[in-house]
Amino acid sequence: MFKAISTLAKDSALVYVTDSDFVITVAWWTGAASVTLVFLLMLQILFMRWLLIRRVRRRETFVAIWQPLLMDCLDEVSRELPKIRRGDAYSFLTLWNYLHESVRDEPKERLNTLARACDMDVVALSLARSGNVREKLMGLETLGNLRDDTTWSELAQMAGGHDAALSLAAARALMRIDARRAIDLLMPLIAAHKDWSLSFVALMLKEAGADVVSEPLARAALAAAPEYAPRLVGFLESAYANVCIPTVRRILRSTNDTETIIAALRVWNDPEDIGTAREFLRDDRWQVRVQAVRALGRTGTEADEKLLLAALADGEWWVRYRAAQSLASLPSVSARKMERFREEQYSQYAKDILAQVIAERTLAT
Amino acid sequence: MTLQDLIAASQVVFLLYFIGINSAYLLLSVAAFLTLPRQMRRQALHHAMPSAHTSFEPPISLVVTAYNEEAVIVAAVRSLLQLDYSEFEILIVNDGSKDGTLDVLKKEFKLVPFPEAFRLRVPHARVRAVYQSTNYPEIRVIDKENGGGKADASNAGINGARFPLFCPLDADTILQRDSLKLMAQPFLEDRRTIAVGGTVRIANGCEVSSGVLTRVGVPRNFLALFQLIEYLRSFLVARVGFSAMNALPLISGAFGLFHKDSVIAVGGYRQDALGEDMELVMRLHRHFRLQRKPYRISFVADAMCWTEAPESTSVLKRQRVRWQRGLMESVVMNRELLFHPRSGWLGWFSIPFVFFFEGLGGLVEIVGLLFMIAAVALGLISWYAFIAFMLVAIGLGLLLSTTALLLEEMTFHTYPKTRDLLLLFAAIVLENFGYRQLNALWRVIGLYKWITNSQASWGEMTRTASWNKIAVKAITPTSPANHKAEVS
Repeated sequence: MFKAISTLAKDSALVYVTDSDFVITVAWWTGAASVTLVFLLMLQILFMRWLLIRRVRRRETFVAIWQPLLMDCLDEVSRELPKIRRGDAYSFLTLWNYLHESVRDEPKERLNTLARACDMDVVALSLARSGNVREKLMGLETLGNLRDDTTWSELAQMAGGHDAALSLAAARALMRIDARRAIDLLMPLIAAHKDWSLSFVALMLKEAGADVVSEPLARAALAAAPEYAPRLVGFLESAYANVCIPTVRRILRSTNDTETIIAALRVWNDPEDIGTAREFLRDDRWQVRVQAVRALGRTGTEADEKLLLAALADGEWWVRYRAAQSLASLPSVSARKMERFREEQYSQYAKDILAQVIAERTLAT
Repeated sequence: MTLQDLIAASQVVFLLYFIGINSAYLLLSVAAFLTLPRQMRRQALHHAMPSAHTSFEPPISLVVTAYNEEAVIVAAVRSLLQLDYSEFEILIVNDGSKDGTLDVLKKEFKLVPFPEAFRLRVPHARVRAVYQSTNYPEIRVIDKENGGGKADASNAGINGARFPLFCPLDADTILQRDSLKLMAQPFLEDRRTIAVGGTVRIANGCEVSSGVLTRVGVPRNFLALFQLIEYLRSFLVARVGFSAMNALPLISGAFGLFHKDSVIAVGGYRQDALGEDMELVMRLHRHFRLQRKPYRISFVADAMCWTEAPESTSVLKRQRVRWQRGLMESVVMNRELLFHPRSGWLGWFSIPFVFFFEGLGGLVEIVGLLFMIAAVALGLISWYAFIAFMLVAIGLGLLLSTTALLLEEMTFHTYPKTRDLLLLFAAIVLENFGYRQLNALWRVIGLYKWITNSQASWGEMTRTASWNKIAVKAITPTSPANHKAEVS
C-alpha cells in the first residue's frame, strides 16, 4: 500500500514541480535570505536600543548640569555659561521651552537672553528648517517663544505648508511673535486647514486674546463659504461678546446650512434677540432644536417656560433632555416648580425626562 | 478525479496560499512603515503643544461591561477615573452577575437608584435598575438581566450612553492616561470618522497599582510571551496597514471608540454573533460602503490599553477556537462585501485576507505540514527539499515578527530593558516550533465547530490579575455563557 501510493505520487506531474530544482532553489535562497535579514534586523534593533540608552544617559547628564543653571537665570543671566554642543541642543531646548511655558514677564525675557547668548536662536532656526519632524517642531516652538520677528517670512511660508503638524506649529509661532500681525494672515488658513486640530487652534486663539481675535474672526466668519463657516463660527466663543453677538445674529439670519446654524446656536448668548432662538425651536432638524433649547436655557426668561415644557414632548430624546435641563436652569424655576411641572405633564416622555433631570439636580446639590 | 490530480491540485493550493499570504503581509508591512511615522508626527505635535482641554473634544461614554467581575471592577473603574480627557462618563453594565459585582460598586461609589429616562434604540435584555454614584457624578451603573453575552450588555450601554462617542471596555482593561485624547483625534480631524481602534498590549509581566500601569515588562510565561509577539504583528503591522487603506476589518472589543449614532443606524451589536466586535465593524463597513456614504474607520497605534493574556493552554485554546468561529461568522454574515464592486480595498483585500489566510489558513498550514511530512516519509521529496520548504516558511514568519518588533522599537520602545528585547527575540524564534502549529490546530478546531455549528461553550475563565496590585484575587465565573472567557 505504502509503496503503491509512493509510486503513484512519484508519477504525478506536480511532485516534480515541488521537488524540481528550480522551486527548491528558490525556496532555499528565499529562506536563507529571510533568516539573514532577520538576523540583521535584530542587530539593527539592538543597535537602536544602544543608541537610545546612550541618548537617555547623555540627556540625564546634561539636564543635571543645566537645570540649576536655567533656574538661576530666572533671576539673573550668568555671564559664564558652559558651551552647548550641537548634540545637546534638543535637550537644552526641551528644558528651556518647558521652563518658558511656566514663567511670565521678566524671567521669560531672561530666558530669551540666555538662549541667544548660547546661540540657540540660530540652532532653533536650523532645526526648524532641516531637522526631523520632532526637531522641526521643537525649533518652531523655540522661535515662537523667542519672539524674534526676523524669521517672520520663513515662518509664514511654513504656516502655509501642507503638513498639518508643522504648519500649525509655525502658525502658533507667528501668533506668539506678533498676534495682531499674524491673525489676518492666519485666518484664511484656519478656515481652510481642516486637518488643523480644532482644539489646538482654539487654544492658539485663546492664547492670543479676545482683543486680537474678535474682529478678524467675526469678519472671516461672516465672509466664509458654507464649507468653512461652521469651523470659524465655532471659534467665536474666543471673541468678545459685543463682537460675537451681532456676528452670530447676522449669520443665523442669513444661512440655512445645518452645521453653521448648530455652530452659531452653540455660541449664541443674546438675550435681546431671544426671538431668533425661539424660532429655531420649530425647526425640522432635531440637531438644531437641541441647540435652540440649550440657547434658551442660557438666556431664557419666565416667558420661555411654556416653550420648553412643550419641547419636553419632542420625539427626539436629546431635545427632551436638554429642554428639561434648560427649564431647570431658568432663574424663574425652583426645585418645587420642577416637581409641579412633572406632576402636570400628560406625556410619559415629559414625565420621565423631568424625573431624570430633577434627580440629577438633587444629586448635584 | 484521480489521486494524481488531487496531489497536483493540493500542491497548487499550497503554493498559491504561500505566495498569497506572504505578498499580503509584505503589502501590509510596507503600508505600516509608511503610515506609522505619520502617526508619530501627530504624537510629536501633542508633545509640542500644551495639553489644556478645549470645548472641541467630543465627550465620550466609557461602557464597561461586567459579568462576575467582583474582584477587578472597582480597580478598573478607579483606573478610568484617572484618564486625562476633558469630558467623559463611565457607564458600568452589570449583566446579571451572580457574584457581588453590583454590591461592591454600590459600596465603593455610593450608588443610589436613578430614574433614568432610558431609550431603547438597540435591543438587549431587560434593565432592572439604573444607579448613579453620589460621589462621582460621571459614574452610572445599569443593572440588567443576563443577556447571554457581551454584545447584549454593550447594547444596553449604547442605549444608556449620553455622549456622541462610546468606548466599549472590558473590566480588566487598563487604559493609558492619554489614550482617549489620542483616540478622539481622528474624530476631530476627519468628520467622516465613525470608529477608531487602539493598540491592545499584554499586561502580564507589567505592574499596575491603583489602576495605573506603573511598570512595563514582558511576561515570564512563554505562552503569554508568544501572544505578545502575535499582538505586535497584529496591531503594528496588520491593523496599521489595513487602516492606511481604510479597510480595517476589526476593532478589538477590548479597546475601540465608536460614533454612537452610526452604530445605532446599523442596529448595534448582534447578540447572536460570537465575534461581536469584528461583526460590528464589518457591518459598519457594509452599511456605509454599499450605500455610498463617505466614512472612515481608523486605527491609532499610539493609543494603548493593557489587558491580561491567558497563561494556560486550555484557556488559550478556548479563546482561539471562539475567535476563529467569530471570524468565520463575521465574514459569512457580511459576505456581500467580498469582491463587491463598491467594496474597495476592504472587499478585495481585507476580507479575502481574513477569510482565506486567517479563516482557512490554519487548515492549509496543518494539511500542508502533514503533506510535507508524508511526502518526505514516502520519499516523494528529498530531505533537502523538505528543509528548504521549512526554512522558507519559518524564515518569512520570523521576518514578519521581527519587522513588527522593529516598528515597535522605531516608534514606542515600550519595553525598556534590553533583557526584555532579548526575551522577545527568543520568543520570535521559539514560537515557530510548536506554538504556531498548535495555534493552527486550534483554528482548525474552531473552523470545524463553526461548520458543524456546535454549541458555543466558553467554559470557565481563570483571571489571575497577578500584575494588578489591587485586584489579585483569581476568579472563576460559574455561567457557561459569560461575557468573556479570555482577552478579546
